Amino acid sequence: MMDNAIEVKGLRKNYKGFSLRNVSFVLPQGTIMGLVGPNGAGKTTIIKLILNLVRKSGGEIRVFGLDHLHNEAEIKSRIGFVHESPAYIEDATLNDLKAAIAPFYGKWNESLFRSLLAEFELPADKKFKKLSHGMKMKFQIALALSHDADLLIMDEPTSGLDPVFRRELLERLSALMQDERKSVLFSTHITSDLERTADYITFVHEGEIVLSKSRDEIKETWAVVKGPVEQLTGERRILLKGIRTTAFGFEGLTGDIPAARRAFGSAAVIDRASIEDIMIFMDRGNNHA
Amino acid sequence: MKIIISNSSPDPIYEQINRQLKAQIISGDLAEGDALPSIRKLAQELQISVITTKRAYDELEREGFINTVGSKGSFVAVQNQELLREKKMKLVEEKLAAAVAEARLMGIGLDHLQETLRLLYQEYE
Amino acid sequence: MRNLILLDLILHRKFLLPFGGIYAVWVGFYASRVESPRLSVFVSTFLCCIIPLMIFTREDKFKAAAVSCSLPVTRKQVVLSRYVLGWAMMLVVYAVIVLIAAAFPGGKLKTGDILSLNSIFLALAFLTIFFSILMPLLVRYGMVGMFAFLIGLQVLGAVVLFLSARKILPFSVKGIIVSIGRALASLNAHLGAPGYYLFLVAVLLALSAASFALSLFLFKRKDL
Repeated sequence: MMDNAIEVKGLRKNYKGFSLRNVSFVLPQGTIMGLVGPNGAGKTTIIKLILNLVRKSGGEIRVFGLDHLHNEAEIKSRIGFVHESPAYIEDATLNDLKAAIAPFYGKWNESLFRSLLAEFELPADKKFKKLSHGMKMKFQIALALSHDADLLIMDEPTSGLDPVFRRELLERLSALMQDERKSVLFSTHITSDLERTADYITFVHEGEIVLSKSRDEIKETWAVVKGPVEQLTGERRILLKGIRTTAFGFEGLTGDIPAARRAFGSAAVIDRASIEDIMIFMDRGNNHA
Repeated sequence: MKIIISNSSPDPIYEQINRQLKAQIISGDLAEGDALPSIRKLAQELQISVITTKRAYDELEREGFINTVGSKGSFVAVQNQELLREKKMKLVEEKLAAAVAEARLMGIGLDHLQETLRLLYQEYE
Repeated sequence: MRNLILLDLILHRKFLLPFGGIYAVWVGFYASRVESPRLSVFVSTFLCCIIPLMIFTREDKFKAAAVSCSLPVTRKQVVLSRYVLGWAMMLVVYAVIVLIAAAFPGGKLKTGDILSLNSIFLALAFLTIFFSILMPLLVRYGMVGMFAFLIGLQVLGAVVLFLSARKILPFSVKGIIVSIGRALASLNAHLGAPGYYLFLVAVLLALSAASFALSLFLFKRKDL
C-alpha cells in the first residue's frame, strides 16, 4: 500500500447554485474507498472531475501519480468506470457497444466479458434502450471489469440492483482486491454497501469533505449518544452533532467517545455509530439549531 | 484456524482477531511455522477491511507471535518456552483483571471473589 | 483516433445507412432539377453538411459524450475524429449526390457542369464554410443551438430578401453575390491559374484550422 491510486488536493468546482470547496483526499493503492453522502452532496461531481468530464475550477488531481490532465488517455486506459446514469446510444445493441468500446483497451478480455454477460444474464443482442436501469448498470459493470483495470471508479454502482446482486458485486470487488495493485473508488448513498467492503470512507456534505478516514478509525471514534432530555446540559450539548430530541429522549453524534463517557457517565447510552448514523447525523447537524 | 468476529462486541475487530490468534498460538492449536492467510485473504473471508487485518498482523508481529516474510506471507513464530509461559500468564491476568473490575463495580469483596475462584478451579479438576 | 471513428460508425450505422441513403437520393433528384449549376452545388453541399451533424447531434441527444470522454482518449482526439469523419462523410455523400444527379433522366444540368473543376472547387468551398461554422456551434450549443442558428439564419435571410426587394435596404443579395464573383474573378486575373486556386485552398484550410481550434477550445471547456 505504498503509492496512491488517487490524490486530490484542494479541488474546487463552481456551478451556479452549488460549489465544491477544498476537496482533498487520498486513495491508497490496494484499497477500496466509499464516497458517502446525501443526494446532491457532490459525490458525482468529484467523480466527474477525476475523469475530467467536468472542468475543475481549481486544485490538483493525480491518478497513479500522474497529472490527470496531462496524462489523460494513459490514465483512462487503466480505469474501469461506471456512471450513475448510463448514457449510451440507445438503439445500439450490447454487442455493438462492446465492439465499439473494447478496441480502446489493450488488455480487453473477451472471454471474461462474455462470461460476465452470461452471469449477469444480459442478452448480448438486445438494444440498450430495452434494458432496465439495473441491467444497464450491470452492463457497465461488465465492461468495467473486462479490461484488467487498475482502478475502478463507480458512481452509485448498486443503484437499481437487488440486494442479492448487490452483495455479489461487493464480494466480487473483495475478490478483486486480492490483487494489491487494484484500487476502487465508489460512491453510494446505500451505506450498508460500505459496512462490509470499504477500507476508507469519505463523507461528502454540501460540497465539502466532512470526514475521510479508515473504516476502523471511524468505528472507534464515532458513537451515538442517547439519553433522557434532562441530561442534555449546555456543556454536554457541545460535544454532540445533529442532536434530535423527542418525547422519549435525545440522540446525538459524538466524535470524541472518551470525552462523552466522562461528560455523560451513566446518564446516557453510548453505542457505536453505523456509517448510516454518521451520514444522517452529519446532515442533520448542519441544519439543526 | 478459527476466527469469529462479532460486530456488536465493544472490542475493536482487530483486537478480537488478535486475541483469538494469540490464544490459538499459545495453546498450540497453531504450531510454530504454520502459515497464516494473507491479510487480503483474511479480509475477504471475514468481510472486513484489509487495514484491520494488517493492523492485527502488525501487532502480532510486534509482540513476537508471528513473523512476516516479505512476499511469502506470515507464519507463526518460534515461541520461546519461557516467553510462552509469560504470555499465557498475561492472558490469564487480563481475564482476572476484567473479573476484578467487574466485581468492584458490583461491590463484591475480595474474600467473596477468592472463594468463587477456588470453587471454580476445583470444578475443573 | 481510428477507434473513435469506428465507434461512431458502429453505433450510428443503423441510423446512418437508411437515412443517409434515402436522403442522398432525394437531394440528388432535386439537384438534377435545378438549372443553375452554382445553386445546385450550393444546395447540395449544404444538405451534405447536415448528415454528419445529424450523427453528432444524436450523441448530444443521448448524452453519450460522457461515455466517449471516459474512454482512454483526449478531448483533442475526440474533436479531431469528428472533423475527419465529418469530412469523409460529406465527401462520400456529395459524390453519391452528384452521381445520382447525373444519372437521373431528364435532368436539367449537364454532368460536365457539375464535375467541372470550378464546380468541384465551389463544392469544397461551400462544404468548408458550412462545416467550419456549424461544428463549433454544435460543440458549444448542442443540437438545439445548431437548429436555432439555422432557423435564425433562414429567418434573417428571408427578412433581408424582403427588405432589399422593397428597396428598404441599400443593397440586394444578388448584388452581393455578383460583387463577390467579380472580386474572385479579378483575383483570378491577378494570380493566374495555379496561384489563384492555391490561394483559395490556403484560405479554406485556414478557415478549417480556425474552426478546429475554436471547436477544440470550446470542447475542452465543456462540462459533460
